Formats: sequence, structure tokens, C-alpha cells
Amino acid sequence: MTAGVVTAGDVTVRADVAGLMARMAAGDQAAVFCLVERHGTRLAGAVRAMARRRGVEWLHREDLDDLVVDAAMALLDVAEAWDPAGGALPWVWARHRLEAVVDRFVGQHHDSLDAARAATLERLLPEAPPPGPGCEPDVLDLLAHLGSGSELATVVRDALAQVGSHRDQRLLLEVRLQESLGDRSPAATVAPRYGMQPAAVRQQVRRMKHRLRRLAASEARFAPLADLPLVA
Amino acid sequence: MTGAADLQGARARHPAASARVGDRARLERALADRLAAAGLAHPQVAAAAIAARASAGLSVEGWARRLEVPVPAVLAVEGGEVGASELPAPLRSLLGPAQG
Repeated sequence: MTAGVVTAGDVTVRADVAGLMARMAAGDQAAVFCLVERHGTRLAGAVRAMARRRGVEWLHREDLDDLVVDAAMALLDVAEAWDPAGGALPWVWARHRLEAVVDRFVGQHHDSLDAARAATLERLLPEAPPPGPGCEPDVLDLLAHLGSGSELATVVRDALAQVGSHRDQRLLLEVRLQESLGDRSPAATVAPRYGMQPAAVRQQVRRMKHRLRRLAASEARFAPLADLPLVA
Repeated sequence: MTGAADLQGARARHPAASARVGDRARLERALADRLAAAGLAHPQVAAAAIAARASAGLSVEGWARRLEVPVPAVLAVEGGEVGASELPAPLRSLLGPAQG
């Protein structure tokens, strides 16, 4: 598309979006399903760009799908206030709402580093010391190690890799570990390690467990997951 | 087979169809959470009913005609006032017994 030129496709999209937003504004929540079905790709593009600006270059497919749903729900909240005559599509007009959705996912509010600043920082920062006896092992490394001797650990490792980013895999494992140690607020314990809010941790953990349960129900290889406390 | 049925069949066979089903399930869950937060008595039933109508691409009135139930009955279900055991028969068979 050429900048400044409105194509017939744009007009069709705008008309369709305007109709759906009008239905949402009138209280017809079924329209949000149509919005995602017909314009989910555009919503995904918007949230992906926002995530990229926050330093998240790559989003797991499941995370992207969740973000699109959260973004659509955010648009449902503001449908009444959106005016098609304003010219901007809802996900552009409501960018602050959508950025808040992405911020909750990213878990922190910061300026993203550009490549040059990141490279400079990397040169300046000392290398991380090797883990000593007092250091906690990384949960994913531990799981990989267990996987070499246990079929179930391999299944868990492979399942986690299918349903979430490395960060979200760690979140789930660390939260469940804290729970097993009797921590009554595991999300609050784990959140600072990732620069996240406890609520964001709880949401991601809930989503990871749901994805694992769905995987267990859909693929025979992952069926044993259903009986694990990890997904309870 | 009607044009609409042709289109529905083609959509179901499309490689991206499974992703759309996944999105619908996610949306239904998110909507149920939202309705629960709003204090509806039966948020999951309501969300499932709204999702089913969205899949059919019908207005409340059109959906009521299709199901042969009164419009207020559809509105009551979507408004979270009706539990799974009290659903009108056409909706009950559509949504299944799992909705609570």
C-alpha cells in the first residue's frame, strides 16, 4: 500500500471494522469473535510491533494468540468511545490500551534498547560468574538434565517447549516449585526475578497450565501430563 | 448444499482453520472470565452461548429464529441468567452438557 492512498481494500476493512465495533458498542459481545476471526491478523501485527518496541523480538505463537484475545477484549471495553469518523482504526486509536496489554505481558515498563546500545552494554558488562555451590540451578537446565534419565521429564520438557517461551516455562516451573516449598505467594516471590508484576506472573502461569492440559488432552504422548501436579 | 454451507465447509478444511478454533476457545474463556468478573451467575454458559451465536454469524433475533426459541430466552442465556441444566433444549444440545 502506498502511504496516503486509500485503497478499496482499506475502505472495505474500515467498513467491516466499523460495523463490528458498532455491534460491540451496542452490547453484542458476539461481534468480538468476528473481529478476531476477520481482523485478528491486523491485531496481531499491532501487538507484535508493540512487543518489538519493548525489546521482545519474537513471540511464541500461543503468546501471540493470547495477546490478540486480550487486545480484542480491550477493544470491547472502549468500543462505545471509538468514532469511525476519526479515521484511525480501533487498534491504532486505542493504542494506549493495547500497549497496556502488551506491557502486562512483557511484565515491565522500560525503553527498549536499540542494537547499538545493547552491544555496548554487552561489552561493558562483566561476564556472569560460573554458578558456585550457593547458586540455584536454572530450572530448565535442571529439567534437561533430568530428561536424560527420565521419560516423564522428557515429556514435560518437550511439552513445555511446545506451549511457551523459555521465560514462561521458567515462570511455571519456579512458581510450582515455590508452591511445593510452602510459599503462600509464589507469584510475588518469582515476579521480581523477571521484572514482572505478580498478577502478570499468575496470568502467564494460568495460561501455561491451560495450554499443557489442552496438549495432554489432544496428544497421546503428552497424556501423562494430565496427572501431574504441575498442571493442576 | 447451500452457499453458506459450502463456505463453512471450505473454512473448516482450510489449513488455518485449527488456529481459528483455538482463537475461539481462547476468546470464549476470556469472555467467561470477563462475565464472571461482572458478576453474572452463569458466565461459562453465557460465553459458550455467545460464542455459538458468533460461529453462526447471526444476530440475537436471527439466532432465536434459527433455534426456534423466544428472543428473551436467548438474551437470558447470554446474560448469564440461565444455568446449564435450565437451557432451552436446542441450546442445550448445541452447547453440550459440559457447560456449568
